[in-house]
Amino acid sequence: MADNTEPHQASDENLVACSRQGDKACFGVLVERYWNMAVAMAMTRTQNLTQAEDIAQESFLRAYIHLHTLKKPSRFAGWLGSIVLREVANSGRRVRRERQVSISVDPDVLNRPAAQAGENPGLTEQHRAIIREAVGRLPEKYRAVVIMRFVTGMPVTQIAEQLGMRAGTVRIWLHRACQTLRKEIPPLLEEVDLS
Amino acid sequence: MSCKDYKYLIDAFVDGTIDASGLETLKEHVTICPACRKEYEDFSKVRCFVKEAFVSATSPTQAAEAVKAELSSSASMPGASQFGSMPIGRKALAAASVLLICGIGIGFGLGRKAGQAEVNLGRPLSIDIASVAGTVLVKHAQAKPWEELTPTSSLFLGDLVHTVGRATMVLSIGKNSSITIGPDTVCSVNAFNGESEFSLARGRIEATLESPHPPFFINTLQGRLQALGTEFIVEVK
Repeated sequence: MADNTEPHQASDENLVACSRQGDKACFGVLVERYWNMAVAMAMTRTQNLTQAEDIAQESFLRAYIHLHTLKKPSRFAGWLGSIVLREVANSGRRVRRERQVSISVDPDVLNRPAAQAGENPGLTEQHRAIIREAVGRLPEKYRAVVIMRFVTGMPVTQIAEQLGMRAGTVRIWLHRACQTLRKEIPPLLEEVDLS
Repeated sequence: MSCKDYKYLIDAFVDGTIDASGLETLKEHVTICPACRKEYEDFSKVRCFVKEAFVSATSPTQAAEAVKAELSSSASMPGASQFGSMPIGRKALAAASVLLICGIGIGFGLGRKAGQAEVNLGRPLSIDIASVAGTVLVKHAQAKPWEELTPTSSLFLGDLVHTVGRATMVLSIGKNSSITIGPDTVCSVNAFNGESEFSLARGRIEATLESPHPPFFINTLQGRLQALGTEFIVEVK
């Protein structure tokens, strides 16, 4: 990078700027930063991890190719999110919100605790599928906010910047989404103990 | 403080805007208030559950390596990856405007050869760099890193050139003929062998050609343009 900043500490703007000059290492940092977000956004539509990862990778490649069209580099994450959703639609993998998604997972896997469980040792694959479906049923605008807040860990103010919206609006959407999720997954909230 | 006051802290916790002292205060309160504890724990669980439900099997580091490998294998760069295919008829996909300012239409037929020019990657080109203003980067076909171009640099067939920001460059392609590569332009030289062919991914190319001149083409994502006159501009936005 031109200013010798450690790439992992650099802002999205700086990483976009050096990526535009063909620096793939800088773009790699952006991929690391937003990989989970891209996969999550795709998974809310596909409910299939493998497909979601394919879509996420394709989205990053597309983003790199069209990086010069990004008008506000500070909004890379929001822009990437729109690419992911377009990729889902283009690939014909879009799952209608109303549709009941069947879970074709081995029963043993369903009852197995999460392999990478960190905070929730009691969360099974079935639990995770229920949560993914609940998030998938949220209105589109709420979904993006929930993913950016809880998967990527962005505060509301940053999400607002990424989406080019007012923080107050994003805050309202996030709280409505959380209230909806609380109603959708009450047994889980009782069943699983974080402590 | 009443529970109403702590509600603001719970909201800030959900928003991700709570500070360390606020979080400490909230955690103390929820130990003695069942209603706030229920609220706080539910939101904590929703946050953790969503994060874990969408965890990817591929780590971000692995994903980054895979994407970088894919980009390297296709030798692409932002705005210039589709040089190989150049599909015609994708006009609706890009807001491109092509301006052709024709001068004197002489010499169109002279020197024209049938068929496509021979592509020989890496062949040195008899193109002189007349001037460079600002930072201009070049990527040789067989090389990975981008290099800064100077007036003394040599250009090779297949080189990708990027005028960064407001930088511009003028190429001398023969007696009384020159190419001006405008700001923030990405282009490459595909052929320079009797006939000339440039590819323009984005930006602006201005050409001033002697009369008569051999066939001269510029490829864009929207199509292949042939210079019929002596002065013309091609711009891709």
